[in-house]
Amino acid sequence: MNFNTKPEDLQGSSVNRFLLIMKWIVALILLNLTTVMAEGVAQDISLKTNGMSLLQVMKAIQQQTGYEFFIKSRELGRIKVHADIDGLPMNQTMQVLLQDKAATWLLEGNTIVIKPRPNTVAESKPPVPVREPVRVVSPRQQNKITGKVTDAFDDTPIAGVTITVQRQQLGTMTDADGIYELEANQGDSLIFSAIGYLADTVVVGRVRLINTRLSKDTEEIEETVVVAFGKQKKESVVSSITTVNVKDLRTPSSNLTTALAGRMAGLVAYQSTGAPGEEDAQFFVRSVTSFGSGLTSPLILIDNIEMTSKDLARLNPDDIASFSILKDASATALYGARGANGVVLVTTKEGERGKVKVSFRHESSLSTPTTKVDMADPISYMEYANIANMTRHGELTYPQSKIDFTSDPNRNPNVYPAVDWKDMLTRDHSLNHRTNLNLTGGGNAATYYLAGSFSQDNGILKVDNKNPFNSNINLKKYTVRSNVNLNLTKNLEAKVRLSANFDDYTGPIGESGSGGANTYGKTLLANPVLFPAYYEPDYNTQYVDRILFGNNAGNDFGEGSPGYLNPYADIMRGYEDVRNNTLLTQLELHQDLGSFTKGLKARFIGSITRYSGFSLQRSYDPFYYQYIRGTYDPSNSFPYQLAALNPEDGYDYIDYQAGSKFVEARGYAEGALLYNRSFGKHDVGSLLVGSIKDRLDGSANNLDSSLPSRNVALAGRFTYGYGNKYFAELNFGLNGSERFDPRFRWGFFPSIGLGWQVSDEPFWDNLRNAVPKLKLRGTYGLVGNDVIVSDSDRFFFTSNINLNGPNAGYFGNNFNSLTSRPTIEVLRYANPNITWEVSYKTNLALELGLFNNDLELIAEVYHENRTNIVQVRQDIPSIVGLTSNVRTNYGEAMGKGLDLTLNYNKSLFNGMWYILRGNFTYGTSEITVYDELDYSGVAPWRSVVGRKVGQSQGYVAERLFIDDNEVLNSPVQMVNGSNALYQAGDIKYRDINNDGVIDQFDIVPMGYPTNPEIQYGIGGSFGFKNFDISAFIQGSSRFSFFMNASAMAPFVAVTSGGMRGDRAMLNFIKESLWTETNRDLYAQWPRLSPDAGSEAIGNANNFVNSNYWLRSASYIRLKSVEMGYKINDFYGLSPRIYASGTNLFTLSAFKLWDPEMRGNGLSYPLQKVFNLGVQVNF
Amino acid sequence: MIVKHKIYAAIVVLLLTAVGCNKYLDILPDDKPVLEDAFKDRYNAEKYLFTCYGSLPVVADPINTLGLSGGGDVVYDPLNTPGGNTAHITSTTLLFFNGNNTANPYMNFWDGENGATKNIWQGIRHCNVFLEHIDPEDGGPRDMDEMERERWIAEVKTIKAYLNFYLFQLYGPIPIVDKVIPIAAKGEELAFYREPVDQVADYIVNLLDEAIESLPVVGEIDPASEYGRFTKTIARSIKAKTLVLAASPIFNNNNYYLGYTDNRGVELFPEGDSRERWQRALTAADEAIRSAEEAGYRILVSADAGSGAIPDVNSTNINDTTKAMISLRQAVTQPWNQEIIWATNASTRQLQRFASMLSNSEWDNMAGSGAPDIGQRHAPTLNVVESFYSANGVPIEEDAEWDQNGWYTNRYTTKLPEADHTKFLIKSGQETALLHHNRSLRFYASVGFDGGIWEGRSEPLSNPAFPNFMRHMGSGFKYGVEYGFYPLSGYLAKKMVHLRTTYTATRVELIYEPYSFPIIRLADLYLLLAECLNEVDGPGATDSQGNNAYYYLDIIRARSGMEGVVDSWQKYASAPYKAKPDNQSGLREIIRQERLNELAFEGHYYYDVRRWLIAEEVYNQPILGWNKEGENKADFYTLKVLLQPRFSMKDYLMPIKTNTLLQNRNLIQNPGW
Repeated sequence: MNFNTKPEDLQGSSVNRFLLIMKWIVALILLNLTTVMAEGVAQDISLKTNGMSLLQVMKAIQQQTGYEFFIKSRELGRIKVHADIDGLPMNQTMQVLLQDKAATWLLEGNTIVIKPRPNTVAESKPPVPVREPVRVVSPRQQNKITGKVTDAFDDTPIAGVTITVQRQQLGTMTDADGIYELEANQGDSLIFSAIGYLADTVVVGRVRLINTRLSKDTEEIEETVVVAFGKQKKESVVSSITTVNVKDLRTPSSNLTTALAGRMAGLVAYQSTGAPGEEDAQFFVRSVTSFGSGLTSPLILIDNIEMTSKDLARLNPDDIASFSILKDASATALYGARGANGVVLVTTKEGERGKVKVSFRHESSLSTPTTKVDMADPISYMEYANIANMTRHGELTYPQSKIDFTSDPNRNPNVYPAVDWKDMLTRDHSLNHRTNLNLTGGGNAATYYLAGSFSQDNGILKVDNKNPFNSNINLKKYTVRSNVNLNLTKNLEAKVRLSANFDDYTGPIGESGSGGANTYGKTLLANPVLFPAYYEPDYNTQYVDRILFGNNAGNDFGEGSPGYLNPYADIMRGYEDVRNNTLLTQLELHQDLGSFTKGLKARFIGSITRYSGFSLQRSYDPFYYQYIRGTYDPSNSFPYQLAALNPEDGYDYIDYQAGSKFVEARGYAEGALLYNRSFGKHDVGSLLVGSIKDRLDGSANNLDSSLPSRNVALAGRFTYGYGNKYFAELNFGLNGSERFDPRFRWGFFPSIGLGWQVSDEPFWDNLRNAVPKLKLRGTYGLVGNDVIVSDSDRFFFTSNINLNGPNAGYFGNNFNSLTSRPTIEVLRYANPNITWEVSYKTNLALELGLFNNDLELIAEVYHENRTNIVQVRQDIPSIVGLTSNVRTNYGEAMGKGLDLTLNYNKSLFNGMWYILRGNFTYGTSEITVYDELDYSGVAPWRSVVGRKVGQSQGYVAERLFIDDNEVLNSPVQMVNGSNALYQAGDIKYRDINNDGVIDQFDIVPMGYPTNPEIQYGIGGSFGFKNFDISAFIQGSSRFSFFMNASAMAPFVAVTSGGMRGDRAMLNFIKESLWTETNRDLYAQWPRLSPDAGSEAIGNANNFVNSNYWLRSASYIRLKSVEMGYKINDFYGLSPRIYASGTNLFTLSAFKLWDPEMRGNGLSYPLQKVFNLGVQVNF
Repeated sequence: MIVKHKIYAAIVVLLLTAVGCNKYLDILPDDKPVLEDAFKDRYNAEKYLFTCYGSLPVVADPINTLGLSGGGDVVYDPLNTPGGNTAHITSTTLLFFNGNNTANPYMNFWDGENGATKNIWQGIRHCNVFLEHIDPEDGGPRDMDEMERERWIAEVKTIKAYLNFYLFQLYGPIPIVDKVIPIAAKGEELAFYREPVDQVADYIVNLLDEAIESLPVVGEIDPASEYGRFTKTIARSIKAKTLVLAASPIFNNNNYYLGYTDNRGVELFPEGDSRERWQRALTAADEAIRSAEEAGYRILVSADAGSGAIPDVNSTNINDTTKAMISLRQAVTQPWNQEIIWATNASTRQLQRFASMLSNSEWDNMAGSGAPDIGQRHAPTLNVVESFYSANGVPIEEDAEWDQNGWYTNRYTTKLPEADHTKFLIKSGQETALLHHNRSLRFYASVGFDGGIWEGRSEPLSNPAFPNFMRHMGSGFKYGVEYGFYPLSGYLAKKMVHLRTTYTATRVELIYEPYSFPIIRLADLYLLLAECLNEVDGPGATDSQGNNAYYYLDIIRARSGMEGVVDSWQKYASAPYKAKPDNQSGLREIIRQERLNELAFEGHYYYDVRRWLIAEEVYNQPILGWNKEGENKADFYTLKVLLQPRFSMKDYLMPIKTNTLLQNRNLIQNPGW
């Protein structure tokens, strides 16, 4: 088949045209594209304009060349153009067309951007009705000035820079090499301006050679806005979309999500652990308004393909072309099935025509905790462990003699060990390296963007050379991305995207992806004084060639088997190989159907993604030893005796164990028809897209999760604009999901939006100088969410019956062969009435440009009503005898908030510029309908209706009990379900309902929600000549967390991998602690207890959620600082070197640890990173 | 024309797409199992029958059986948190020590929470599902014969009756759920009322009456594969127990519950004293016993020490003392013996582990062994120990001999055993409390005590190391804390341990002999019948066979080597008590004590104490035991108050969880909660 159509063939027979459509439909929808004859695109342009408007001319050029275009304002579009062009290349054509016009142009990717020529007063001047290019006429004899204009960033020449002399209508443009020539007087100011760059002004002095550099005006890139399934002109966008400056996402971290907090109005993000590989930040678009079992995280689309947050985290910022979030119904309606929680939309860079451009970046960074974890030393560990055991059980854990001997600096460390496991096994910093390289270029037939990156993470473990194999962490990550655009025919473009991520890990078992955080966690559990990491040999073991790992059998004499955690042995005992990979291939076909109907295009996207990975472990079983109490004799050459704890079970040859394996396959296909056309003042656009999506988990463990997850969608958008002033937009998504009963399988999600460019109205003329831009827009619509329960439970419309449940019966008189049968278990009752979670969203926005548009302000308010939130029915009593829960679409919640974005760009004088950006997000939510018991008259405060989603709740702690008498005479505290034992010094709770018992009916709401209600960021960049600096401050406030006391309780026995550990003590506990001698009723930590579990004396009572542990936090932090310097002409290159840092400084009322980590002070701290990098472009 | 073409083409494509899409989304395989599949054939329906059986509450696990460890006759130490071992405080212990609550009740069988092994209502739903699907016209299996179908239906009805009876015991008036409630039910359909006591009892009895018809007699079922399934006799026994409960003081003339009405105005508890209730119970108990005797059930008297459970004792050399002691233990622990009407094969390992003692050598080997199985914490209280009869078969406080010799007054002092005690009862040379001397053989067969001989354990009596005896170690039972557990009171419930169950000497691992844990045994029925007879008409009342209460009591007493009731009191009681068996109230006390003695530790105490409405008296006494931490005999034999429980009227019935009441405002809480 040959689909080549000629643009002239507009009058072709309709039958042919019909056949053509059919062919296209067949091709697009049945995915049956067989052969496409590639043909070079005719780039040369021929046209006669005869006073056509620029808009019409550009459309003609678009048809001929396939370039998209974008005209910044409607005035520009109206410019009349007179030219007769015959076979000129595009750039020359544009030059001819715009010569002496009040417009200038720039090629952005595949789009010709036309914007007003800066600092001209074109508007006040009538279009010059001349046919021949205007020569620069010099009124006076002047000096000839020449020079070169280059990019301030990479010193590449900039073509098409307009140079005008201030207050005169004189000007010229740079050529392809950036060279210009013009005549001017000494003292004149030359204004250099170009699209995409900040203008620069230079005063002509005596020197006639004026070279200058222009800095990129990053704002200009935002002129086209990436919207759902396409792009829209910025000013015609009525929906709520926030785009981030991609450069801002470039942080010295291999995790993109950590850079998100405070970057975009409407996006709330926080990071609760700094463990390498697990530090994915959680992020939400606007306030979380769902409280059921469903998904609350946004949909993530990378190049139109749904990906996981992990994929997003792994994306290299250098490869990103645009990063935006879609917030309201209009923006997300097309993704109806999953749009309710907002959409994160990322596109990657595509090739740029031209010579090969290479960009290389290398960074080395050092990360270290933001806050130091302050642990008690071994001596005070023992002293406080004794206090804990004494105060609860009247026994000492460690005899005073042991403490005394251990404090002796000349002690034998094998006999009286005092091990700082953390210091011994981990460093407080890690060094990482990252290298990126990307290439772009291409010609008429094809353009390409190729990128590769490599990172190496060495983890925080210290290397010990005792081991036969290197047990240090070595985590390498490779990513490859290739985006190739092929112009198959003049009207058909193919894009082939391939991307792959590979993780190679070799290192200690269990550290894959954690960079040592696992060992870090164990060092806080291992008992510091029971045994050393390894023993020096005693008499019996002096010839034994192995490491004598320390352990303890639970008694003083080493009788029994090793029962304690020795993190050193865990690191040393073996290593693990982990290989994880993600492969994505994507084919896109873009067909211009202009020949059929002007403005019609079609598109097909198909994509396949595979995730897979495996791990292998090779290890030995360490031989453990224990010092036998009472055998210490310092006078002996072997001063002590060791007991072998596992002489039979241990082995020191390497053995193999298979680790986990996973495979997941995803597929996506989309066919779309796009139509955009102007009829006079009427701009009409429409989009119709059909898509299917499929996901199959290859490592499922039951039938339901082994079945594929599927979505089918038909979505459309219709836009109408009048005179670039009034805009209307209709969107819909018709979505099918496999998760619902056939009756509810399809969800329809329409939305509507309106926009009004007020500043373009005639009545605004007087205000235009003060307020150059004012736009109002608003949207309303519905969006759905089908991920309302976990994957394994998603077929709730069918029952889940296990016909072979656990056996029952056991009849007969022969105990060796009792008769039993499997039972029948109903794991889920069929519930066909469950349907989509639906969100009704309203968005109102105001866009303002002030101070000559230097200051741009976008303010948006939104309201959301989330309905059909799936909840477990609370009204079904046990009497019914159901063996599993029944759910309904019952809950409703309301969300509202405000997003503010503020940008300010200014270039001051020669070579100096600055940018300020700020954004502010406030979002709150309220549960409006909730399936709960009727608490009225019993405990109305238990009702969550009217509360914020995610609001904390707990008991009201009054203080600590004074003495056991008060315990006896106070209401019984059954806070833990059962009334666990508690004593003086334990938390005394308030009996809210005065029934003499403190139970779940005394739980009240308290504090803020767990997700911050306010998040903001302020960033500034400043540049002067070769030097630039930028800083970013980010803050969150109005959120609460409970200090996770049970995860921090010292001395409590914790089992890790079957071995016992005794948790270390955080020093802050000592500082304010209730003890029998210091009965501080308001101490920060109640009476110590060495017990864990629901029966633990004291702890079981104390560690429930209460305001004792509640902290309402807010913080503001210096999130990142970057300084760069560009070296001119360094061996023919102009590398930029830079230093940056993240999480440098935090201000918060909560001082114990980084408040962003929330409750557990023992979890792996957030990292502050110092980074050095170099970037070269050539 | 062209437009038309376009439209047609578009419609065709859209339709094809839509159809295709729906197909595309239909990913569920058609043959996913549904509930109806469980009744497609006999094999699967049998699974459902077993599912119903499987929903019977667990009765043999001391961790979560109210009868075994929640009755206050046996106590565990809730503070027992030995080093290295996680504490496993039983919910029943927490319940007994802490009292119950409404926010999250302990042993909440209503919701299947907080210690309760089952949500009883789920079992009732299983039964209803079975009954609504098993008939062929309801989609039931067609490949089974009708006789069998009838039997299964009868069995499931019996299960349903027992589940309702179980709730009835715990909660009194309960809602009656006789059909499967659809999951879409809302509002009124879920707003069940509790039904009055009499109606609940009638409902249970009706179900049983319907079932009895089609149930087999024990001779018709296959012992090897069907023992444990319901028979006519079992159903009749459950009926008797139900009616006895309904006639008992808790629901009969209990003024405390008077006027307790729900929002319909229905009174949930019956008013006034009713002899008819006892009459009805008597008839049912009589029928149950007749049915049992006809089926061949007899009071077990061991002729051979349980098929050589004690290696050197057999039918030729067994003496009366051994016989009396072994017979009672055998009646409980010999699987499916002739006295067991209904038992469960559920594992008794935990119970036996908890009730077993460590012998001397085992103590010595414990260190370093890891001692994985040490149990010894199923500890009868001193109060229960005192309630066992004297060697003369009368209460120790009524025994003239005990009175005259000052044994009763000095019962907490110690002495060395005399020769007549050392062969079977107390290890020679072991000084032990006077309380442990001169007791009935039933005491020695039931309770392990310091110095007491622990027969069995696979050791021949002739072994010089034999008999093993129980002792607190030099440092008291506290020594056990490090390794496991210790009996809080100093006693162990030896009766619940099979004669062969023992420990390996080297690693202290439990070697246990499984047994069928008796739920109803003939002695239980005899005692119920005796109680009914006495309640109906005092000592003079007779049953269908013309037997009076004494007759049934004496059969049981004889097995444990005691003389008849009338004779015993006449001969051995102190003067004021000699005529005790002659009147109704005296005989009532005797029957009750006989029941506590005979059925001790078998799971009846909890229910009996409540049924008789004597819990306030029983549980407001301090719970006593010896000083387990005592380092020597003198230390050990120091009386200790283990616990002062507080029991009030409300504790007779379990509280309903507050949340459950909030779900359904038609339900009312039990009185006092």
